[in-house]
Amino acid sequence: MIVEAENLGVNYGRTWGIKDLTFKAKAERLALIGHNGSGKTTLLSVLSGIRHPTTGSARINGWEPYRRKDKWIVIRYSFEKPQFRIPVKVRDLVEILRANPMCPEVDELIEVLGISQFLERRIDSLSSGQAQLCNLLVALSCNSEVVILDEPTAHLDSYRAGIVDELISKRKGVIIATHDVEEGEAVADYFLIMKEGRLVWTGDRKKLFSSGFYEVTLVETGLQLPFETLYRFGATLIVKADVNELVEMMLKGVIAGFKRAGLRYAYAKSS
Amino acid sequence: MLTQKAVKWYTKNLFPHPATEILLGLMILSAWYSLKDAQKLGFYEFIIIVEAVLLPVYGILVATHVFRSQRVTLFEITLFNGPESVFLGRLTSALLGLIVGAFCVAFIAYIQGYPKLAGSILLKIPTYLAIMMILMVWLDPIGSVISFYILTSAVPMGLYVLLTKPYPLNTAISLLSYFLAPIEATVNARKLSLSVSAGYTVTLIFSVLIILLAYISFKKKDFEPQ
Repeated sequence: MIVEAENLGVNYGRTWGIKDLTFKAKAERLALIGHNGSGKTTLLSVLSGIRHPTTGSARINGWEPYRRKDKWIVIRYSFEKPQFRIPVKVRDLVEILRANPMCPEVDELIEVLGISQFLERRIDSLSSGQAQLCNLLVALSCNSEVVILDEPTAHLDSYRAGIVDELISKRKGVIIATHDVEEGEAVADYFLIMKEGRLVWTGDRKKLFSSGFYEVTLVETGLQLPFETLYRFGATLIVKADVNELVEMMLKGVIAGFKRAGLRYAYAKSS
Repeated sequence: MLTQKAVKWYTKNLFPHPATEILLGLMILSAWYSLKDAQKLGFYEFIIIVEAVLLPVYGILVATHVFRSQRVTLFEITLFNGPESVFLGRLTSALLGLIVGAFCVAFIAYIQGYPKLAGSILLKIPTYLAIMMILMVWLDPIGSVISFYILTSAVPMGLYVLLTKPYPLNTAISLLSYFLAPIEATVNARKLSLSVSAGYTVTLIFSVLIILLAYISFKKKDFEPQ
């Protein structure tokens, strides 16, 4: 999948949701990372074709999504904050998907996502997590060229979130927006970091993890390490260190573990 | 196939209990008693109670079923592979809902000996449907409900005041009367610049055009899911 944008901008009255975005990403799974209000959902709404940009253009595999007449079939979209005031049962939703020849994976996903446990519940009585699972079922069970997921695991417990991330990491043509750096690193192979409607960092996994910096988890919060500490996030530190020294400290029980610094570092550095 | 499923999806729980039963009962009783002595006392009561209050409230009850947030609309469009099935499903469910209410009141008017009045009540079906569908496309649910009530209740009340004046009304106001207050317009047809048949024809054409416009707008609509 090739996703690209050229001088892309979307405004809401006088405020720009995103402005002057230019990038070209070649990836099977693309992650947009950013804090709340950074413009992720706005960019996703253009990439999913549900709104036209104010300036510039966006393309997925060479076509502009908002210009395609069959965009609802080639792109499946799952948005954040699912609140469905729909007076029907989950079973009704499942029956519609079963009747759709483009959705062959419905029954398998119902079991995997645990939706079979609340088939008889009305959709307007579901918890936000259960509603999110229904939302994901609609997006993931049907064949499409691109799947766009906005904060897919935001309302899910860690067990279900893990299952969803595993499902996403096996698919191709996925664009995901998240503020969870672990989720981004778990599923994506190309990253766009956004702040205040602008791109501040882009790159693939190789670029992301090649920094030579490490993300360290302390056994006890507040401990000082004998390394140059670049950023501190509670018990998680971004440090510049020798890998052998880190192994030694882990064996001594000073640190719980470490890994190459990834999205958290790139995100903090681009501030 | 998916359009049939969409119609089924939207007609489920279209008539929530007991609100619909109570409202239908109230409409039938009000229509019956307000028309009972209409020959002697006129249609004032019937117009105010049925056209300006009960039918708009009933219309809102039906309309809230199709006035859905952008998030729900997006979810349903994804579910039904596009906006066409969603629009047709909503149109059909709103039509079914309106038919039940309008036919009940029209039947009362007919058996009370006012077939012309029954016709004007049935004209509410296409006009309400047109207003519902265009509001559904352009406004959020709360804005749609408020606008629907203004257009179907407040405006007919205002038109009623105009129709009490002795002088005839111009073509534009006459058209508006037939579209938004067909019962009033039929009762006071002699004060309007358009005949009943012309008014009904234009209203029907206008309603169909608005529904078509709503359909095209819905297909081209940009969404903001935030």
